[in-house]
Amino acid sequence: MEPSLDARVLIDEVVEIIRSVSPELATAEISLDTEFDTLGLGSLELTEVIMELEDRHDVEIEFSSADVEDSLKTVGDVLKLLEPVLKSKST
Amino acid sequence: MSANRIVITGIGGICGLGNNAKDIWAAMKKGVDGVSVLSDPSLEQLKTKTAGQVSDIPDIGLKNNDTITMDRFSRLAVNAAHEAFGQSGLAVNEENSSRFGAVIGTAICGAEAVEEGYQMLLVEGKKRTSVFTVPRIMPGAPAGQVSMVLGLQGPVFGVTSACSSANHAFISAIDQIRSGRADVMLAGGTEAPLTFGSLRAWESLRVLSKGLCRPFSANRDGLVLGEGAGVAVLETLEHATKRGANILCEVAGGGMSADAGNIVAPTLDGPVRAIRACLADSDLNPEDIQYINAHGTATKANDKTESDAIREVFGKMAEEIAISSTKSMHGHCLGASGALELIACVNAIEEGIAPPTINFDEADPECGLDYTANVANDRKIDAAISNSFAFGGTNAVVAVKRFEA
Repeated sequence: MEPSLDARVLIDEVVEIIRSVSPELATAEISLDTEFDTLGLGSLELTEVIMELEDRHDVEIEFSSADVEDSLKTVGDVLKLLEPVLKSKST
Repeated sequence: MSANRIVITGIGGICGLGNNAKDIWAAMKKGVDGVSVLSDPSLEQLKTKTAGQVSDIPDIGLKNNDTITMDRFSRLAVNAAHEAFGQSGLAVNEENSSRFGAVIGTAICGAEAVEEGYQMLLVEGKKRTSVFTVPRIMPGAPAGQVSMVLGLQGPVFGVTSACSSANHAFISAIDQIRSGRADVMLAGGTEAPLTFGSLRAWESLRVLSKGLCRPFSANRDGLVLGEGAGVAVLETLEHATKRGANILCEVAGGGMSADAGNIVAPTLDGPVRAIRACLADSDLNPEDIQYINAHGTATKANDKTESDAIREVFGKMAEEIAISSTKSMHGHCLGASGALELIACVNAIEEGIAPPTINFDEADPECGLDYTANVANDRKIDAAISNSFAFGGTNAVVAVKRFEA
């Protein structure tokens, strides 16, 4: 299934934040299925990405940096974490 | 080889469990939770609600001229050192003062003074900070302050390696004594990290628990910070015997290693090498150890990796050893942790009691050893090790054993 327009905007935003946290990924190809492992992103970088998303959307996302590498493997996983939080904020 | 043997003749401490080592040990044995709701009103807007807090620092007769130069982390260290030195029965005079030293570990620095300084500059718009800002903040300040209060004029310095700072301090002190630079070393650690900015920074790291510290329990959800200090008096056996000192236990040795891996994520190999190095330095075999005071921070990663490391070093026997994380009671006091945990080890040997890991609700199959769940355990303990594994991958393990002449 093709992602909706909202989802595509979010994907672009997550990718942009990843590039700002890790500037050497400026030209790297990053899609929904890209694994953070292959991008060389560790728990601290991922935590920084999540916190930037929290700030931009003024929401709180429950997670622990200690197991973030197990629970978040791809850009898609970040969206799965973020979307319900955004939904519950708008309702 | 009596010149190389080192004994402990005094120990002092202060943390959420009590204002002296005796009270701290009594609370540990009972499984008291020293973690409480943050009491400072300026911390109300934090997400973090609990910490191991020192309610009031006992007056040990310091003058205002002394305390005005001290951040809270120095105050705590000086109190713990004063208690330990008092128990040792040592007296400093012109002849021996240059043979007495101190090494105090701290993970961060004088956090309260940092915050006050920025408050003045950035919030109040002042053009200067307090004249005492620099001397209060310095990570070497607690060691310097201890030397001034007690008159120690030998090797005196601070050490820092995040959460293993106190154990690195013990090993540095052992080295000063073994190398012949000192006869007596006060060693330990201190931390007072419960300030607004410091707690906010820990919140950002996303490793803090929602409330209780539950090391090794399946439902553990991160660490709980604490403040405190601990200091032990280490001296050569010869020095202690000559003056007829009461010997609490023998310092067997220490081992250090670095993961050279990740700044926050632990490896298995680093802790394994540190424990093995400690046993080798102590001339102890794995089967000699009956109690392990674990690093046990209650993060998912540490507790699993530490359990694996213990299994790797001790093999099948790992299941027979009493293990506990007293951080469940005093919280993670960062640079002070190893020193508060030495209070547990020294008393565990003396009284034959392994203190518990409290808030232990449910065994985690990923850990799987005997963590002395919730209730202290009577057992003969002749030798114990205390693990400290830090951010930065800097590991330090210390061993103590029953003193036998």
